[in-house]
Amino acid sequence: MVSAHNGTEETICRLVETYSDMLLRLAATRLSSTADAEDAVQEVFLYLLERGTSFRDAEHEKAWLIRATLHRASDFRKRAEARNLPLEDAALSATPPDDAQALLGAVRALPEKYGAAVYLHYYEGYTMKEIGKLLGLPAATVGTRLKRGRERLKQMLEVND
Amino acid sequence: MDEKRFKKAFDALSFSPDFRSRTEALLRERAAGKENTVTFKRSKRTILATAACLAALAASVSAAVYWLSPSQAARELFDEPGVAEAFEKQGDTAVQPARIGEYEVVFEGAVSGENLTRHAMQLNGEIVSESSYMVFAVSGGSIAELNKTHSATPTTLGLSITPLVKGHAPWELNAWTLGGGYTAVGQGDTVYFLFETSSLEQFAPEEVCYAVYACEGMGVPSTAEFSMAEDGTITLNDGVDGAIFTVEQP
Repeated sequence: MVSAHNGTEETICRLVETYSDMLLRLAATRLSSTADAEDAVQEVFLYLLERGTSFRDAEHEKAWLIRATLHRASDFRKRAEARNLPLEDAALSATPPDDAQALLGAVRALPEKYGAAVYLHYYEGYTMKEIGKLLGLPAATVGTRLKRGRERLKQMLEVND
Repeated sequence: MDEKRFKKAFDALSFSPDFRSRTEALLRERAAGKENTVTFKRSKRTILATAACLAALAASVSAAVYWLSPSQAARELFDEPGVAEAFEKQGDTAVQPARIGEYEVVFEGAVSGENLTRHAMQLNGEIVSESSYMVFAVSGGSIAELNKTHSATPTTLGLSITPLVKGHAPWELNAWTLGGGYTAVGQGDTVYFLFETSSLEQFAPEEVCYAVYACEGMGVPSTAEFSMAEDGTITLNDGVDGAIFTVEQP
């Protein structure tokens, strides 16, 4: 049993040290502002501690954090879009994007369900089966999302190139 | 897909170098604040008739007379007169009892409204003025003992609670994504929960319901517990001990 209960020093350090990097990058698949991604991940950690809970195991904990981060990042993005807030992409559009920016922009332009699968596979190295467990999806669905996400990324990057 | 190119792009992201230290400090601060906050209140009022009444519970919804009404619970236990008034304004609705494991769970009702509580609810860092509230009572098992130690919470009871909306997958729309939270008050062998989320009225006219189910750990809704039919109807999977309570439209 993995516990996130009580917000102990040990728990706080473990959560932040173990998951920060992955969750920040994951949030960045939906948010063009790294500051927004940081806010979203902080809220997920806060929410987890305030709920005072425990998980079956480390995988269960990780899956919860991944899903919660994706939801929070989506919420941030929807709010920004609803208010027509300028996105970082727009600010950068005045200068030709370098390769990294072009790829990040393309990932963010993917439908959300594709972006998460693509990131978890190509950056974190998870298999379709593992991603299915993390996202609560059948492995076949993950495979479809990966395939379609890959195709769309290729199209977008070819246009940019 | 060129994995190296993909990794290089994400590695190029520049996050604040002090993110970890800032976040750890924030979590410590919040944890300290939480320790100083009484989240489990115990009513000093005379205990009303909350004795176990399983037979009455099984018999009919008239079992409600053995529990505090949702407006009573909101006013007398949770000290939330705004929520109590909303329940009173809504009028009586039938309570819905269910047996989940060793517990008798009674869904007493739900209301939505603006600025009903004395505290401000936050979702994604923003103040949420329109919220939904649900009151339910749980008795049985070791609740009487747990109440003595102020530790009866959904987690200690091994229960998970979440609102669900027809047509929205439970693993995508649930208590966690709606900013859910609760306050618990133990009274004798019963524990009352006032459960709060951002307003469910935003999903009208879709059918809204609440699921309470036995789980280990946090119990974030997943395909392990729920299924959604093509018409959007949500059901608990076979083998999952729980109940889905439909919210009556006033």
